[in-house]
Amino acid sequence: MNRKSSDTPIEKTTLIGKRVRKPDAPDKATGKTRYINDMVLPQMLIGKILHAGRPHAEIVSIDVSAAEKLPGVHCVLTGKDAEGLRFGFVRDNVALKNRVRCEHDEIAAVAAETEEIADRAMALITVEYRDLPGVFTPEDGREKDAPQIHDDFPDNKSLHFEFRHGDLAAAEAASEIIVDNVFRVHHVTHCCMGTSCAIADFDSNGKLTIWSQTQYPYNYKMDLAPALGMHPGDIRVMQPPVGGAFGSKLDVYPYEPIAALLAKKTGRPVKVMFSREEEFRSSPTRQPAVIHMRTGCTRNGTLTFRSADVLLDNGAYTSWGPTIPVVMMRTTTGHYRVPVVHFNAQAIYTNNPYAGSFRGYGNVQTTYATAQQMDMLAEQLDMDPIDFHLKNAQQSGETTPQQAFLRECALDECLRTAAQASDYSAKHRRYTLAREQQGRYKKGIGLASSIHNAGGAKIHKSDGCGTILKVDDYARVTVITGASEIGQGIDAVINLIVAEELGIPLEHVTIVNDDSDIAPWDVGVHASRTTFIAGNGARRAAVKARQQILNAAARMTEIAAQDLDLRGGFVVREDCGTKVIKLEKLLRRMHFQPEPELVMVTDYYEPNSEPEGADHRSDHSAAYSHAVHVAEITVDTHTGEIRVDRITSAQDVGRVINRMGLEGQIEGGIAIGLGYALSEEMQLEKGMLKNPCFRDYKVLTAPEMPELDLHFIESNCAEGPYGAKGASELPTIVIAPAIANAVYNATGIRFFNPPLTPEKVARAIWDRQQTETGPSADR
Amino acid sequence: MYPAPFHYHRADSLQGAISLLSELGDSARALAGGQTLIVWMKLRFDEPQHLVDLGRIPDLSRISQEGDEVRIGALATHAEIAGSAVADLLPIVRDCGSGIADAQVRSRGTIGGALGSADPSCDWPTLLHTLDAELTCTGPEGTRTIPVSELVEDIYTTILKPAELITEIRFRRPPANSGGSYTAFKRCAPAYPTASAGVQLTLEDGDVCSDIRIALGSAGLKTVTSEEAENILRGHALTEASIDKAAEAIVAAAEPVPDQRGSEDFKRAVLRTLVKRAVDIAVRRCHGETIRGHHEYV
Amino acid sequence: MSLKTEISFRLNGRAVSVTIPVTMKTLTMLREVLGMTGTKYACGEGECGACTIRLDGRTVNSCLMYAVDCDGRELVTIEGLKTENALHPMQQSFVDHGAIQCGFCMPGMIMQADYLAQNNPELSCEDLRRGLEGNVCRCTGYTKVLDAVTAVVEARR
Repeated sequence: MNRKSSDTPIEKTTLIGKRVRKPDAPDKATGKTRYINDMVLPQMLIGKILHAGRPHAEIVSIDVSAAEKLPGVHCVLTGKDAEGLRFGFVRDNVALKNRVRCEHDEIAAVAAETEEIADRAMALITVEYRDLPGVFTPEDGREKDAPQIHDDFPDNKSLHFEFRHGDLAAAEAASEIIVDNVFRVHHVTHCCMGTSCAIADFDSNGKLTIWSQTQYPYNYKMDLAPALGMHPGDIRVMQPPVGGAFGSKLDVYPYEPIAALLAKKTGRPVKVMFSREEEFRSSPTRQPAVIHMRTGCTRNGTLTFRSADVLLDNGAYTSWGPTIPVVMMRTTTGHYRVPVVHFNAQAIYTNNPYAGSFRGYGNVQTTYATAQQMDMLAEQLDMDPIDFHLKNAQQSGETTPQQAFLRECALDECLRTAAQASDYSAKHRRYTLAREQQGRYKKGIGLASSIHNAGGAKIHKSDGCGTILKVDDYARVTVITGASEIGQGIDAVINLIVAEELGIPLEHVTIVNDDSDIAPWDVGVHASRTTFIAGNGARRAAVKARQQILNAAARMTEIAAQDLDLRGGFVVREDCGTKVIKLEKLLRRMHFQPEPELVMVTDYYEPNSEPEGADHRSDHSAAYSHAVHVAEITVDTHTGEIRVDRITSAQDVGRVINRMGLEGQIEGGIAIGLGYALSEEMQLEKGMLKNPCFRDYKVLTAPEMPELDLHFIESNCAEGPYGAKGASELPTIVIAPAIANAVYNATGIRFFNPPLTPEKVARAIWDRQQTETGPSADR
Repeated sequence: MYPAPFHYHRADSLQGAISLLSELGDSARALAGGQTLIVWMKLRFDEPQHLVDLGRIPDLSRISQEGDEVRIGALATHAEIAGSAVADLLPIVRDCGSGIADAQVRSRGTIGGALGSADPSCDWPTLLHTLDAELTCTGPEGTRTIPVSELVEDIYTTILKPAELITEIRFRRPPANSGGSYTAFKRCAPAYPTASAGVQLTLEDGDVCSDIRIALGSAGLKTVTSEEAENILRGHALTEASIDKAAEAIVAAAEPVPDQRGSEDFKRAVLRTLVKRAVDIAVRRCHGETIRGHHEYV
Repeated sequence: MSLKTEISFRLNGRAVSVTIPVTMKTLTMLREVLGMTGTKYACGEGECGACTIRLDGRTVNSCLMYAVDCDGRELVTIEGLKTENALHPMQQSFVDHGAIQCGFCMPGMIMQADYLAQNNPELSCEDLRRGLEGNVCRCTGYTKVLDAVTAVVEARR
């Protein structure tokens, strides 16, 4: 039987929630992707940076004459070449320094024909330093006679944040149980597999093109410009594929203006790329902090107050790290129903490396404290921790003291799901009893939860994202989005959303987001915002295009637009799926009619959130979400080794968009969090890093990855695209305290200072044995 | 960072390598698998002016058993040894060879190079002490045999003479009623062990230990052994108490150096645990149990 | 004896001759002399596996090997796995299982995974995890990598 193809009905299908491949994956799997680290431009020079290698010093003299004379060297720059070009969050940094404030301070830079020549030139630079006494802890930095690190920041005081809600003294008095602890959280670093890299090139009109790993290309211009004495409008930011970012590329770091200064001086493109050792020493860290937290409750298990007094080790300069209290206070004040909350944070300059933004952004640090104190309170109440958590969990529609409106709150569902899937309560009781028994191996189970913004965070004047969408004569779609792809998979999300709305194959969508001269503005990849914000933008643009197409089809076919749909590359009848016209044919007809019509739409999506504001009382995100992790571990009490057997995760994701990508974000987030909990630590001795390599800085590898059991709770966020919420930071946030609570369940020992390395755990177990049995022979 | 410039020489015979090394003197290094030397040169811990590449010398990587003698060529890689028939027969050899660094490093790194580095954290020297191995060494003055226990003079220093090379490792195959185990505790694949222990023991009449060798790695400036510890166990039925006592004795003989991998007393605690674990596995292997041993990650 | 030398070897099935300084690592030769940038630099000290290639059938860190030693040998890089018309099954499996995020470690990871799967048809979960211990990935948490390799191994059984 002959049937015209247009008679075949097409079922209405949806891609939302399906497993969709990343469009960039095939090229990455075959080695074809040209990462920034792989790029070579004609005439390109190699730039290298001379780091101080001491934490605090004056520069008495610097002699670069021998380096300048070396054949193949094109220029050598020093502090005088960057004088006055201050940049950074509080304008306390310059690209090249006249004084040393931390180990990696950039003292000189060379541009040469090859890396080898640049290395040799560096060795020819002689610097005479006069070392100064340093400050290496925030406590020391506060002392009256502490050396002052920046002339214009008296008492070494950097940023300060405060929030108060309710009468703390009264709440303390009304509390029957109070836990009071000091948590000291450490320096870790991002360990992006692609080391930091920038390539800068000036055109003859003085306009700078910089190939960058940045994850916030538009504000990046604004932040880079003062380091070069330029107007931000004269900077074009190119974003080739990058080998990871995780927050580390959310600011301008000195190597970037240095590449530009070298390029300007030589008139040639200059590439600066870090070695792994440089990456460890000179790239940002997660913000270390001393957190004094107190939480109270009544005998029946109702939370009464929570207060946090936080001291941040600012490091030598102020990047995003010292701004994390903005998020720390949100969790301190907003996680569980706490009527009275006080938060105070002060950042103190030290001669340590300085922190930037890192996935989880302050919430990793805070949740390490809040989630352990919840566990402690439950124990003192002699209550099943789940019951205690549920008793204090907010419900949809509640507002936190900072005015975060929890429109769709799935905290209790997350708690119940994780507890049930892991058989938490029964195991927790069993292991608590087994703790007192003999035996080398101890099992433990620990639960932790947290809250995080899941619809962006309006810390800038706008939290929006621009999208341009065009459909060509062949029904191929190009989406030009402000959102950056840094490996996390936003391209796949946008691809899926656009294919969903326009009823076309996934392969027919191209995403363009690597050139700031082309793509519209976006605030950057941070705050778990990109799927939410850029996803909404892509959806709105696609819906506009869809409407334009359906209206045209309605005009041509005399079928009402609302009775038509786009499916499988065709305009079809909405009710039965019968094909009406092939989409590309329609598009050509639209184009080649007397009044030609092209499908080109633009959208700027601004979420309905409120700016953070100086008083920190605002609904600063368009959505909030929760995650609960349950960690099951085995402790070897002889060696202190912790084996993580299984992680059960229940997270409110609003709605799953790309299931495969979402799983990947949660799995990867857990891995970074496990490293924070168990092994990763920058070992700093008087500001000098002792372990700048993977053999001494231990990240998680395949043999140690536990079994994962992931549960997605779909709370269907009214504002999110198809109901989705942002998701990628919570897994990193919640895991460390879940591990710490599990270790407590196994051993009865609390760890206030991550990471829980074998030696730290073993030593704590010995110390307890000593106090129980008296000093033993030879330890 | 680039290494300091050097000249490269590819040796095509053992004699050729020895002649070149004697001619070039102190400024030359022999390059085997390079998995340590190349890193050292990159970090400029070592800046030789000449490298003599031994990698293509024929017949230096043969692994064989003749009668009850096992012979391993010095250029046999960790992977080749771990995958050999010798490793099928002696699981202690597989324990060690399959746990060094990671698969990529094991493809290139050699047993001779590991011995020659005289690093007390290397796995092979510890293992070879438990098997009482002997080393065949050839230099300008001819060939001699050195017990493995005499190879290392001090950390990073061997008694090898200028231009003398280890060419072969030989040891007697332990009797059928013998079992061995090598176990190490390391933080991650590329790190040397925090501590390691090798045990080879022979059981007679059920569980009387007729012979035993114990050796510790990363436990001092050289591989640590203890006759006292071995004497506690030799000739007696093994009991938990005697094993504990022997472990204490050998750990007392150790002088672990605190470093990135741990403090001295932590390393002692780990060594104590590893000795007991190795004895336990060795005994079970004596009894015919098949147990997969490997480096323990933490 | 010279500071520069000419070497010949086979790279992804083709004969190659090249003159290189003897101090140059194989990784640098691949990336900077031959323009084969699929193999990645990430640590330069044999600690991360991003530069993994096949050398005479076995996987090695190309950063821990002087290029001069490639002479006469057979090298396969990530670019050599793909056939003319299709991705190699291991590459395809990594794509299909979502094992690739930033992807920077993946050329090395895939080379090592392919080696493990080819050399051990009975590859157990434990063998696989151990076999990948030298390949650091910061994005994925390895779970999907393990899924991808397991699928290839099972399909071959």
